[in-house]
Amino acid sequence: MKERRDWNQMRDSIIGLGEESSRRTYYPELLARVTQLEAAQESLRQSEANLRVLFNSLHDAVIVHDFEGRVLEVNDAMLAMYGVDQKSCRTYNLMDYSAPSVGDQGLEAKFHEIWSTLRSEGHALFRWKARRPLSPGLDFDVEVSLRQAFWFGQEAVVAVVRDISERLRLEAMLHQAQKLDSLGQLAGGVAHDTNNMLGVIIGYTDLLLEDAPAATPLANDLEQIRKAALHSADLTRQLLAFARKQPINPQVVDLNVLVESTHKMLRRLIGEQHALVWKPSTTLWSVWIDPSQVDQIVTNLAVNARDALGSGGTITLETANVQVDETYAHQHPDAKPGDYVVLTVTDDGHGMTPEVQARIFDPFFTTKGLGRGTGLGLATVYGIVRQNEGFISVYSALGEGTTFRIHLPKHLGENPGAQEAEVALKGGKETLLLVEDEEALLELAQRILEGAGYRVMSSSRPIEALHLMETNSEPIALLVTDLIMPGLNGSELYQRIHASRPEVRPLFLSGYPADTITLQELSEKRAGFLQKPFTRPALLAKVREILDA
Amino acid sequence: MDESVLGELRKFVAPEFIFGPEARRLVGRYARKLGGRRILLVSDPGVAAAGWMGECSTLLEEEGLHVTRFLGISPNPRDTETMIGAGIFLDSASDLIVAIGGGSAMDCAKGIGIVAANGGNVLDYEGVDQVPAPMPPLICIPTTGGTSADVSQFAIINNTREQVKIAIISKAVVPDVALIDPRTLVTMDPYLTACTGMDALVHAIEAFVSNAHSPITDVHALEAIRLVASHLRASVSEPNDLALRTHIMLASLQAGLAFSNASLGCVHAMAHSLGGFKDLPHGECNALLLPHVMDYNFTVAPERFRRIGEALGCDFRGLNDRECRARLMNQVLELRRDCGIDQGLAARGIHTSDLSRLASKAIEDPCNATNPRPPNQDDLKALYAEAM
Repeated sequence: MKERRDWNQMRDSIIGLGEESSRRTYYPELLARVTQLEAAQESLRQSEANLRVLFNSLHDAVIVHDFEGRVLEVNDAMLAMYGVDQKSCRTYNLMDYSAPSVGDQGLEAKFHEIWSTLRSEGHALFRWKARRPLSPGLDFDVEVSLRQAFWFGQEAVVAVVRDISERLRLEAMLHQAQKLDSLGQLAGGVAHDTNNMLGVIIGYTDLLLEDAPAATPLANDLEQIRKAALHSADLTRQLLAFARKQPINPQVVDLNVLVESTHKMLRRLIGEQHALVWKPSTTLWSVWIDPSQVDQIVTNLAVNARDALGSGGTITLETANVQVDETYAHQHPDAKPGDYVVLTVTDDGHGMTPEVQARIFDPFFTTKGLGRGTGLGLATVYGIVRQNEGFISVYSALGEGTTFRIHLPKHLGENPGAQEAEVALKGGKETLLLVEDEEALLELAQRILEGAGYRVMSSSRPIEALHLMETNSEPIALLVTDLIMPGLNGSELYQRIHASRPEVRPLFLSGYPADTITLQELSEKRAGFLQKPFTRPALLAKVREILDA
Repeated sequence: MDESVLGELRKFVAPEFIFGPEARRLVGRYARKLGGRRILLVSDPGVAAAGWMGECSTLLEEEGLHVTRFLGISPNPRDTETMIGAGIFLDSASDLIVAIGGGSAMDCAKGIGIVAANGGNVLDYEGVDQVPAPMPPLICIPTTGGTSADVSQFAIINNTREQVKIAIISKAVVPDVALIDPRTLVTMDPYLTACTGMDALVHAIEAFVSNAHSPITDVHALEAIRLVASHLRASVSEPNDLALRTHIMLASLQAGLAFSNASLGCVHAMAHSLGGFKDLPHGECNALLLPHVMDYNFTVAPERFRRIGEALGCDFRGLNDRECRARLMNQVLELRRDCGIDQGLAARGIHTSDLSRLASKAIEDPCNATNPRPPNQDDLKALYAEAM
């Protein structure tokens, strides 16, 4: 019975009137597939939107284009970089986005060359000059990376364009600073050796002048030698200033006062046909600088400005307090953030080309006619400003004049009070220990000092000098020593002597002090310093000054 | 029983079908109209060798459709083959199936469609109405005159593990279109012609005496019986006679329409078990079992068997039921023998010791449900024994 009942049910279901027995078509399943596809499509749409956000968040411009240079797609960064909008960007060809440095014909050839590389290598990376189609004057440097791609199934190129004009500018500035630095080292080295020789020339000339009857042709000739040597010494002094090796005597100064004091001299320097405008800031921070360096800066810039002017024209000097922030400092590798006193020298002359601007601080670079300038003026200014931890910015364009802005750091401490003592030219009877590795100079200094009545023990080698002192019980009043010597340098020699004879005081001689002794050390050691080349009166005055102190 | 079915609510399921010479050549148009773009063409090596598959493939490609061919089908389509075919359907991203061949190609195609749309294993869908999702569009082109899978809601798959054929009965496996072209039959050899013809006859007879028969199925069943009785012998001996082939093809179609809606009986239940066990041709199994099951069923439906006999060409005038029964059995055996199918199961490698197993499998077959006389397992075993 059970079997039969089951078969009845089966028979009924075969006859097929039940709910499940109705014939259905495939379409509900197709609809389910369509629903799945729509879900997948929505997910793709969202993914596409996400990718578009990424695309438009890039800082670099992306230009998808075909091998004819037609623009297919760009991102927001591209629109901003090239100054176009979504609508107009496609109306321009890649040629319109490039600066034709070699003419339109050349540009097209260049593109085909690049594309051919791209086809063989799959990618390309190169520098390019980019152009804003609506403002063709504002071309900019870019780095372009190309990759071959398929865009909607078509062969295409994806160009990623990075604006590197800022980077190039910084690189150029850094390069300039490095170049000036190495030039400075070279100049400093040359000046050091030259100074020694000039010292010998000047010293012996002085000695001869002592003995030569006044107002004779001989005295006159000697005077000419002395003058020429002093002039050369002045040149080396400028070189040293550029090299930041110039021994200086900084003080707390008011730039307004110093500039004011040079005003009369400047007036004469600039000449009648040019106007000189002086606009001092009413309140101005102090700066810590050697006043003579301010003179050098102002004089050199004024002369430079004058030479840039034709007939007529105005030179303007201004002072101001300026705060340099991180942004500005980032754009100017020389600058550090902080407070600065700025001296601005502006002329409305012929201005400079970028090529000239790149070299103005190089020593011996000059645009002036032969015999009109040494090419050391701006180099000196540069060295001085850097030595004082300031920086210079220059703004110039052809036909629009030039502005130099000298930034000197604001002085933060108290004025230690510098004194300028006039020391009478006189000799003495004290015993001096003289050490100088340059034999000619040693001999000269010994003659000058002995000529003034001093008793001089001398040596050209520091070790020998030490021995000399140890074997001699005579009291020594002063150690006169060169700073830079083989074996022991002057500073080290003094340390050794100071250990056994603390009463001995030092006078250091050098044309080149920066690497072996600092101003601070000098003051700690109650030491004297005399820059080479020195004159006879200068040496005698300095010796006396220290002995009497 | 005759009158009892008249009061019933009935449905008649049949696909759209095109019958006639060159019907097969419409395959490209129909595949396109059904929305196909990538076609899985299911066939078997025999049909491919006869050239039908190549022609069909060309016709599809001429319509701009992509064709993937699947030929890995045995005469009794296996579950494993169906699963491989479903994998190919999905891997090739096909969207429509064309089956060209005999019952094995079409049943396998149905199995592929079921798995492609529903996943799982084809055996999961055994039974009635067990296919939840309809399958991709299916076009059937029969090349044998008997199976009627091209119009039926049946798919018979060989369960290789259990060595039994399972039946999947579902509206979901009714093809979308059948292109029934008698010309394809001319490539059948005489024995295959005989087997498939006898299959059509069994479909018609079982449908006619089915307890689920209906007036509409009766018309088709009787006409199918008449056509087979009149033309099968000639068709076997004159395989190239297109007119004879057309009669047999029409018989197969009508038998298919009948049994697809009235279902079958014990002959098929037993043949499925037998075919699964010995891998014998389905038509041959049916032919061997038919007279014995008719004899077994005769007493519960003598009037209907009388009408079957008349359709077969018997003259029952003046005969009582017992005489009719003998005459009818003789008529069927004679037809069978004339067509070249003789001897019994023993000659085909079946041993007496196999019979219990065959019966135990056969009793599970849903075709038993519509047999006019509800069988039990012992009945079926006895019937196998008679057919030895």
